[in-house]
Amino acid sequence: MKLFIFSIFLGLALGGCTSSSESTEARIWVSNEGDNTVSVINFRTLEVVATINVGQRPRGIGLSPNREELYVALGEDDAISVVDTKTLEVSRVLDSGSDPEMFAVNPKNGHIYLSNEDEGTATVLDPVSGKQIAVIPVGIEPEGVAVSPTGSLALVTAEATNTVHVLSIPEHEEIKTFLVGPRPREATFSPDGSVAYVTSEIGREITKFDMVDLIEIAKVRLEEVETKPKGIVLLPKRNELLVTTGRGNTVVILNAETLERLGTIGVGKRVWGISSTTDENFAFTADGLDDEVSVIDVNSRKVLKKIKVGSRPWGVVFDPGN
Amino acid sequence: MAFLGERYTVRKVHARADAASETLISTSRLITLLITFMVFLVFLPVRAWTVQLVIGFSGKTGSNDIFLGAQLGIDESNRQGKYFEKELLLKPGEPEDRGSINFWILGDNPSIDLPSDVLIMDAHSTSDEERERCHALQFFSAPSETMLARAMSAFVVSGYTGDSKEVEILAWHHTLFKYAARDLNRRYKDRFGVEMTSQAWSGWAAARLLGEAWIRGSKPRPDSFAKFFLDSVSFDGQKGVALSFTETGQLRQVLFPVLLGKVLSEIPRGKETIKKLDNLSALKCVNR
Repeated sequence: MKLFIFSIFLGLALGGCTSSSESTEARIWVSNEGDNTVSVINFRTLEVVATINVGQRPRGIGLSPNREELYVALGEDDAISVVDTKTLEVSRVLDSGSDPEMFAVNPKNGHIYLSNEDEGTATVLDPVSGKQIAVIPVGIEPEGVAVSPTGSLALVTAEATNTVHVLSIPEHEEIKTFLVGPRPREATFSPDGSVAYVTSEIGREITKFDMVDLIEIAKVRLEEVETKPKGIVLLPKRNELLVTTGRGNTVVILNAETLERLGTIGVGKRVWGISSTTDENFAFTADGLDDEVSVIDVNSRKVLKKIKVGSRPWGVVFDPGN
Repeated sequence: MAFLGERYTVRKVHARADAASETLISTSRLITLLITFMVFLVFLPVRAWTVQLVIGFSGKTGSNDIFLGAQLGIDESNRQGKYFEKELLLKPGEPEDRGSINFWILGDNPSIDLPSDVLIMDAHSTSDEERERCHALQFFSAPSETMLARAMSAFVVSGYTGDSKEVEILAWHHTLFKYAARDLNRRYKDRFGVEMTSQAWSGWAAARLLGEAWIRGSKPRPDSFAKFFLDSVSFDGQKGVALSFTETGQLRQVLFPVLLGKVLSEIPRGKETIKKLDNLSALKCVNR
């Protein structure tokens, strides 16, 4: 009976998606750190439709602004693998500098801002020419990167110095450094770029910054000692943040304005990356130790389905298609 | 006489003129200096005003593991501190430093007699007795005898079927890779050309803890640092969990059973980590 109700619910949920503009070619891309692949999931069927060999230790994953190319950071190849999203083939490989982990794509010009964990630098890559435009020293063990929607600021978190580095674009100068809770992992901007959020894994904190005045404006610490905030996605229409908690095996929902905790959703083991649909009705998490992606219905705050992917899924990105 | 008087008068007049001229020159020099200083202030980068804290090191130096670890910890604290105008300087201790340095890392039994009002971060001692004394300004980054023994018991109870006499409980191992341990191991080896040991980790943690206290706003006083360590420190020792201090000044930390160069497990593990970390290091203050 429960399965029947679940099936109806899933059918309604996915049926709703079918009628949306995101449905036709919408896909979910997942980097699998353990077997050097990217899994491609059809959003309508929630089935894996392809697996692409990309290179050694794929972690950070993201799309070009026109979504014709998928970028994957290859930590052990010191490269960014470029996948043609039509042919699903690796079209070229870009020299990224040492040990790339995460990156963000500047929505204005397509440049890739990435962290070089070993080197303590951030590198700016032009994916068209393949040239490195800038290499910027930051703190120790840089990880999370975000570029503002206006393309004027980049944030780089440095895990071992507990710092968040604010870089101006196009000057690529550090204009501010924030000190945050231990082991800052990821960062994200609000749609107008006026606010940013950073997760701190060991500090169990989410910190909110005013990016106009460049000041910290709020901070929350998650109570459970098992929670380790890692991935973060902002749902602006809902005014909510979804935060993955690593070995806490949950997604925590916060009010994006006040950082008040609104709920918790149990997902898979060692949940890392997270992404949401543009209509904010669904979210997807990379559950690293389960080799699965959890599909979350954001409205009901429940997991609709778990999808087997490759080994140790790390990053996930939703592609609304055309 | 008149001549002499004239000369005298002329000399006096000249003397007055010289004095007036010197006053004018002094004033103009002062103004010039003032303007130069103001221009200097305007163009001086704000970050030039770095505040330095001297950390004494008592113990073997050279290639001693604790000393190397402390050096890396100081370097990494300074990588962090440069963004906030804070700096630490590690100074191997001499007897004459006793009265002038208020913060010390111990890499061995104290080679000099330190006063009781300095803050000590002991990276060497495993003595339960020293911890049970609960000196308000003494902290320990190395695990205690009790912690090592309890970690061994916990490991055996967890189902280990081999000969536990061959197993060693360590605070760190150079093959650790989870929780970014691999990155710390790499940084240490890149810097010194040798593998990071437990002693090196204790030295590194001691220096990083002092750096965190300094950079996060503790005043340059031992009591201010002690308050930070007991009330609010949440230290990332690259062992996957926030580390803090017990009332005895012991750093709560994960330990590793190692056999023949291979890490077998981590103690404690799983849920309720802090409770288990407390059980591991559950010494009580005898004199408080």
